[in-house]
Amino acid sequence: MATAKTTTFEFGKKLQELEAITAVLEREDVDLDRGLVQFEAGMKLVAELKAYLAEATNRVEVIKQKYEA
Amino acid sequence: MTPQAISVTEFVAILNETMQFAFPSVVIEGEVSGWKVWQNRYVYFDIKDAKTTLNCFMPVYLVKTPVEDGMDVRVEGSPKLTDKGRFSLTVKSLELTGEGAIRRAFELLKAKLEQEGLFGYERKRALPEYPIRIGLVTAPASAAYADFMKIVNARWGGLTIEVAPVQVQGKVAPDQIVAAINAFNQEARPVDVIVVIRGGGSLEDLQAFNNEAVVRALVASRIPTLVGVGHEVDISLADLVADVRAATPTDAAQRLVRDRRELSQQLEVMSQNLGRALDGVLALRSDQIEATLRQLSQFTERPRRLLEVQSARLAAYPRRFEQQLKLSASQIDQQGKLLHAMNPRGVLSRGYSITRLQGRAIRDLAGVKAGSELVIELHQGIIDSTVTGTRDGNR
Repeated sequence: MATAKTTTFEFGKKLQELEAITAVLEREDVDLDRGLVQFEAGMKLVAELKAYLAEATNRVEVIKQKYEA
Repeated sequence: MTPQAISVTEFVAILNETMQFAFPSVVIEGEVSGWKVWQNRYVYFDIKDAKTTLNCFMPVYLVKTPVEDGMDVRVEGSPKLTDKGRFSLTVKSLELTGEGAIRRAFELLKAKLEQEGLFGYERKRALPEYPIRIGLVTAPASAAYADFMKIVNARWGGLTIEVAPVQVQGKVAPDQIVAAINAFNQEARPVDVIVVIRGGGSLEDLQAFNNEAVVRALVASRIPTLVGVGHEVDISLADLVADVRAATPTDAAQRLVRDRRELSQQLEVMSQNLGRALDGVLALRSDQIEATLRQLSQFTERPRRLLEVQSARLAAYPRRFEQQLKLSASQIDQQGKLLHAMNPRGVLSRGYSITRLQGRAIRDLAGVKAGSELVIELHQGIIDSTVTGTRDGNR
């Protein structure tokens, strides 16, 4: 029985989140308190993404089924 | 003694049995001529060499490649005598041989598919930028597979790669490749990309990827396809209908996933941008605070300036006052001198005297007669005198 991962790490989505946070902070009208919260969330994402790049490996499954005509 | 007689039918049956026994299946190579498709169900053609020609027959659905007269082919079939006494080879598989034939068939099929618009750029779908599940169709024991996996593992992690092992050349290859592509499309949890790769080879070796069924399976795939067949210069029909074409299996790995080293650098930059953006927010806030303070100080500025003005005015007063005083003093002085000049006693010092009769100063003879007592005030001293006589005027 294959154990599927309960949550897949969606790299692309997290990268987009990070870009969005930076964009928010680069806007002129951001509230300082909110800005700090966003910054922390952004740095957390950076850490997650870096860890993924450093540690993630690939899983290969060779399908047993024969492909007949 | 005459040999036993049999019927015509029996004879043909015996012959067929004999042939069936001797040649249950035979593979013959020769040239095609007289290719004729009948009612889109059967094909009649001749296979021949320099000296001999044989009739052939096969169902259309078993023809997996375009065929034209003059092409060299390899057929597999069984010999048969029809009830008309005609010899025929019942063909169950037909392959093109020789580069000429293969190229020609390629051109024919390519033209047909191009006309259907299957090579059109607008058909192509983009591959997901960060795929997670990959469906790989290839021969696992091949160098192509090893190269592909090596590059993928170096570049990216966290993938699940499902490998569908197939033959990538030979007769059974096209069917297996089609089956694998279809299987990936039918999974409950489909993969993000289907990758089809094989290494280099001769034109004949790569034939499976010019096969119409394989091409149509790729076209029909709901999952985006990445195809890398042969070397740089080999362009198969599968390459042309793929959503993304890779020149080689290595190129396929590079187009499939990004390089984690590049992404690491990109993350560094993004992290710095984030820090800079925060600095920007802080600076902006501190600028705003400063501006507000400056605005506020304007409000304390006015009273201060007013105070300054008033102090200056006040400071001017002592001088003015002094001047006034000086003026008054000299005025007083003058008046004093005048007064002094008009002081009767001052007159006395010039020799005049004040004469009084009964306490009152007199200036004429009214009330004065001989014997009146007059008091005369001099500048210095007083005379008590008695009048002896009077006279008019001072002529």
